[in-house]
Amino acid sequence: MVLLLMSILVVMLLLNFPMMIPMTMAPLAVMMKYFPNVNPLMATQQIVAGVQPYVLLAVPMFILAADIMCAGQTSRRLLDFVETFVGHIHGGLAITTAATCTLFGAISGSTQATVVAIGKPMRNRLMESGYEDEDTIALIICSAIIALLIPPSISMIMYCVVTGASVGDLFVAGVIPGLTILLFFAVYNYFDAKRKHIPLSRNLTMAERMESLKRAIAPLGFPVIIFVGIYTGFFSPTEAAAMGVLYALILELFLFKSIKVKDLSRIALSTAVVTSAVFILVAAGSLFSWAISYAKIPQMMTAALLGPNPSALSILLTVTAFFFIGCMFVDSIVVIVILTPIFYPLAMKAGIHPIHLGVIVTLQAAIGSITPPFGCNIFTAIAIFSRPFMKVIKRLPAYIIMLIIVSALIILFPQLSLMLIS
Amino acid sequence: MKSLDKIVEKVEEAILGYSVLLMAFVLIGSVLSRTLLNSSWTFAEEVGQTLTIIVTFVGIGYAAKKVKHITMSAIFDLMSEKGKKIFQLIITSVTSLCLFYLTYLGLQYTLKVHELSRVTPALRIPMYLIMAFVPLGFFLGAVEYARTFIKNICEKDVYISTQRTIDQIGEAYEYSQQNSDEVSVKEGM
Repeated sequence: MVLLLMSILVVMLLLNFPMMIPMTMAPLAVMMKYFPNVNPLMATQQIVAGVQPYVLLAVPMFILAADIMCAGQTSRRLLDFVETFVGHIHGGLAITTAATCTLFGAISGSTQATVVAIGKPMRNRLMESGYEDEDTIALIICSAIIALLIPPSISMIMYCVVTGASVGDLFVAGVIPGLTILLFFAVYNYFDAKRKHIPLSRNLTMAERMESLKRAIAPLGFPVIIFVGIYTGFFSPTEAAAMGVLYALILELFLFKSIKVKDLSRIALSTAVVTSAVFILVAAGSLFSWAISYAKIPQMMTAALLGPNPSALSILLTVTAFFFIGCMFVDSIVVIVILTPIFYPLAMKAGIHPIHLGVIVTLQAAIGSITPPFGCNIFTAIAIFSRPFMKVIKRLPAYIIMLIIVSALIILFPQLSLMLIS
Repeated sequence: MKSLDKIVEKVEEAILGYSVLLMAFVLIGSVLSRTLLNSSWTFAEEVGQTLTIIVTFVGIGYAAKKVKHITMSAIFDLMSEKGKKIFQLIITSVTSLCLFYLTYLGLQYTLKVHELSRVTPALRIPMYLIMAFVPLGFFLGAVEYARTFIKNICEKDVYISTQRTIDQIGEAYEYSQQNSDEVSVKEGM
């Protein structure tokens, strides 16, 4: 049964099928072969139920807010702002890139959007200032994954929809791990730039800095609304996302006047297509997790992998390994939707905090997406910067090692994730 | 046939775009009403959920046209032109058949919901009308993949959708690239 399920899934995934097909057909095949008494109409019911959770509405709203801001000037203003403050130290521009990706992640919640919005303008500036080709690409795609951990994060919403954990709590819990990664990247780039004698840029005056702060103050309000709104419980994640859209509209339509009302239907269409492509997988994932729990596959798989009474640490290490490897091959959303229901019951039984597990899962999704051979951010970079595969992956190992260190810290010290939530 | 295709595409675009805008409008309105007037819109939740179903399923066919469905293309990308053609024939035909099967299941389910004659709690919209978008969406997707299959048989190039050949994969990124270029032009304030 497990073999049938997994072989359909893996073969069809590798053959380049649209992922919704293996994710619906594998569970349907298992149900028909082993549980012929179950009415196949249950499948449709599960598919529809998959997109019903109210919190999912936050996803199109966050994407829409990000799309509006991408079409406008927000990312450019944030870049300028960070650069005027750290641009003059060793590795300043690189640190600017990483820090702005973190800030922009607090707006968009998607790594691909971050690569496009921050990576494209920053890459030219980095190259002009003497950074090497391979270094800039590695920096950009690795910094972009910080967006997964900084709220709002689409991967985190997916985890919560699958497990029923609180989106607000998980958002808050991701902040410290996200900033830890930023700190690691900043220190690394400081010493790397020093060693490679990248020329320093001019130290700006306080007046110039205040000028850039003034230009960035409105975009900086966005993460504040989201984070404070959710942290204090004033907004639910869906409401916070809706306020994000309103804020983005006020900024770009009225304040900066960078988009027009007639652009909105085009922007909303692009949001809708991305939403549909993601949600059909959530719908299929709901069928998948219903089928595997009906067939008791999680119990079988985890018993075979871990023995009868595994310790919390061995469960966490297994989860880490599975998510890391899974995300090397397919999109993190697919991995979260498929693997979470397999491991979640066992992790809960071992007394692991659902939010702690969520942070670990999200971080592994992030690392997997930049790990060769198939990490999906690598392919985004190949497509956007039109650079060959080998050049894109050349300087990734240092970043992957740093991220593995951060993973270890987060696994060993649950407080890092849990201290901000009550 | 060509014009029918155009019309369907325009209708899909309108449904998708305006559903998202309406969703944003209702959710924003509900939050504002809750914070300012202390009463939230009871229908916001069900309108949001209904629009989610519409966007998700109507988007299947449109995303297929624009090659936006998430796939794992690493192995496919490494293959020769001929291998890609064979793969594409298998993928589009099997995908189309699967989607037709899901259309059938969706249709049966819609009929069942119709029998139960349930309505949504706040606006009292019949549930089967909402459910009808599920088979409709799967059907549009199935037709789209079937047409890509036929196009691959009839023509020499390798088509990854009815509108794109493999040489045009990069166009998926065009939209976002244009946007970030626009940013550099539109400086100032």
